[in-house]
Amino acid sequence: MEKILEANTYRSFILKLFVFIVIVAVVDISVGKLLEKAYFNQQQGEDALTTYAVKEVQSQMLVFGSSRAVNNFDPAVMENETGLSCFNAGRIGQSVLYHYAVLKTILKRYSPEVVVLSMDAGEFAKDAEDYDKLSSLLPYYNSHPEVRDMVHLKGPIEKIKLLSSIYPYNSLLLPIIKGNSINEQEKNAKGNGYISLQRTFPGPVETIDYTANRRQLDSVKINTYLSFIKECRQRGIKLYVVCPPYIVNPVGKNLSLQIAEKIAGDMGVPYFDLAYDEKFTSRKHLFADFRHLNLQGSKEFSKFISARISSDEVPDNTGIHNE
Amino acid sequence: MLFNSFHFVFFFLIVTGGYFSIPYTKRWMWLLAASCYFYMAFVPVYILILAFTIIIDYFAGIYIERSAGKRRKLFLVSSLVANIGILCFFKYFNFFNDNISAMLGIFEFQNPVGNLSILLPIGLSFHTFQAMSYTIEVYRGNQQAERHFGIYALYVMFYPQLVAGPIERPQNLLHQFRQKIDFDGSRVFSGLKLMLWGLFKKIVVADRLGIFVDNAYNYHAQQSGAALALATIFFSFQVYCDFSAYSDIARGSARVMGFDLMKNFNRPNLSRSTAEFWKRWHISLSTWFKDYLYFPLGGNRVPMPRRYVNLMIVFLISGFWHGANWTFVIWGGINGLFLVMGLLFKKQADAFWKFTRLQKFPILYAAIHISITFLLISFSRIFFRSQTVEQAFAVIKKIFSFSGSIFKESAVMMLYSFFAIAFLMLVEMRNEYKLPAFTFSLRRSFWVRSTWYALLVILILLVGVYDGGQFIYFQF
Repeated sequence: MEKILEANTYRSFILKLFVFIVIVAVVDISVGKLLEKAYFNQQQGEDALTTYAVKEVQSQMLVFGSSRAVNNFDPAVMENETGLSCFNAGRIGQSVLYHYAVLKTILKRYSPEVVVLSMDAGEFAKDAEDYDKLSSLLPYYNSHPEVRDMVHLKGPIEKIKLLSSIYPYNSLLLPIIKGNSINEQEKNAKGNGYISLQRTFPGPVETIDYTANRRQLDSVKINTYLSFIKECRQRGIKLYVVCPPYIVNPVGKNLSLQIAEKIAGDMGVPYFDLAYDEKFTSRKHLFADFRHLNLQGSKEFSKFISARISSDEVPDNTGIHNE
Repeated sequence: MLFNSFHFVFFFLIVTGGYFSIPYTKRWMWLLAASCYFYMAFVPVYILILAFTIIIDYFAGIYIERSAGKRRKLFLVSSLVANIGILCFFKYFNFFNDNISAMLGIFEFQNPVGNLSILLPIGLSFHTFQAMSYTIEVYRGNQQAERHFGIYALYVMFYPQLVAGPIERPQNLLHQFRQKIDFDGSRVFSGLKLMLWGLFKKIVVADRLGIFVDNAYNYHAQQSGAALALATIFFSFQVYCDFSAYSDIARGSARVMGFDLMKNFNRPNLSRSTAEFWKRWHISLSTWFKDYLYFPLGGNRVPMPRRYVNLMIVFLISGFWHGANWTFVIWGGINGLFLVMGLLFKKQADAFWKFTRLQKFPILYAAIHISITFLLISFSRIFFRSQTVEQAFAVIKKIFSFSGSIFKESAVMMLYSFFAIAFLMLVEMRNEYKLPAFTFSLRRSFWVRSTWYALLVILILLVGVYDGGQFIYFQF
């Protein structure tokens, strides 16, 4: 009798648990589908720009990088100067891990003529947050297999988390609502990826000692940077690696930038090091803060870089003729 | 192994499944092995420290019971010295050494002893206190000494409460390891629901608020006073949700297997005085200090001035228990002062409230008291959150400069944070005041309850923060 009661208890428990799991699964799939539709329907915001880069962009020239790409490279200016259509595919706070994933999705569709990769002082520093931020790629995980390798870098159980249809849209509910709630006039005005900063750097110029407290380097990021360059070489894309200006008094040399320059040099890729170039650093009014140019500064900078690209007797960094 | 990790999900499923699959007489072995694995997932070698204290206290318990008079006391003192000695060595050595160095420095002497470069064994303060409560209770004759070494080891090491409590008492927990516990579906669901609520508090509330708090406190020099004030309020909710989440998951996972662990939090944010707050916050530690320190010092049966001194002693030690840093000592001291002031000025305060006639409006009266208590407790937590005393004073100075705007973070981030707090408080107020609205989780219908808990899962997936990491109280 006791055994029968026990068996009934187990059966009832398992049945209830099963029903609960089914309810969760049904709600998860339904809400996930709604979020997916709403996510890809966004007309503005950084997610909409990423979707545009991943799915639609056809520009001849693309810019990749963090906020130092988004705020410093103005595609309108670059288009005027070079005669090449341009889109800024950078994303605030992202590292080379994200840029490489987005580049791969674009290369699946077409090969741009020119790619500009913007570098940061902490580009290759070990930082767990850079891996967390790869969650921006989650909505593309199912539709774009090219991003999967990078998403898996987030952690060993990312695949399990992705069994949920809602998880890719974690913390995106409000941005999705915002991205969908625009009027007719604003519709289809996604922009070219550039965001201008209107403020002016108030100062003072601080000293950064690169020789002290050096952060550990991340070999995964360095290898991804290498892969980025190799991918461009294989496709015959003219790649330029650029380090936009900082307004600081540097002590010593930044390790990430040294490595970026060395690798670029070894691979025959032009590297424009403007990190502490006096052309910009002597004019404080061109900066919004110590690492970003303002509207005026970014226009001058974009013009300057475009001129360098246009006048560059482009060394053959594609490697095609050598191979 | 963190409670909010997938590693723990697999561990929990395997341990619970195994627990109900084996005969109840052998279950202690299974739980002990699982608890060892759980502890060793952090720093494996530290299990030796745990084994050392377990052996000492196991034999101390038996010898205390067998002995009488001075010998009995000697065994108790030996056990306490061993436990406190280990705690002092691992947790406080560097603190004392730094202070000695600073003092010697005043007289231009150099401290010849260097600091230790060792990691603090996880949950050391918790399981040391739990072990001490055993020998003290045996000494007092409230608990028989446990003869079964495995069961005693399990009492100290029981994985749900091993690293962050609740700090159990032997009378409540030891006998449960001998009971024949049958599988009970409704109890399992009740445990799982408690775990789910804990997970919600950790992932949706605590870790979300932690983003703003960390930014504000880590870069306090760049923040406005208003932003720091908001971060301090947020931290109050964060630390509550973080710690009570751990307790909920601990109690829930124990309940699934049929164990009843003591309640550690009783909606402290709805306390109407700081004295009431300390009856609702970290109850297992507060009662530990009350039973083993405050009462032996004389408790409430001593003249008032002595009672104030006793209260201050208890709170200063409680602060020091939390961490080897003056910030925690000051935090404890401030809370002790709140209680002393509450006693000192009770008559005046009562007269004041009578004068205001606010008692005629009970809701408003309660709201004012709750708000004042919450703000006082939040203020003291500036020291709890700050890395150094200097940082705490810098934060306070900035807050009282009443400068700057609040919203330094993105609007989206702030909206999520306010939503999380609002949801939490709605549930807490419903439970506290038995509000009729918002009671889906209490409905009898299985479907309504299931849908409510499914929505909780969906909320965790939708707005949870998955990169929050550690529980705050792990460091203690």
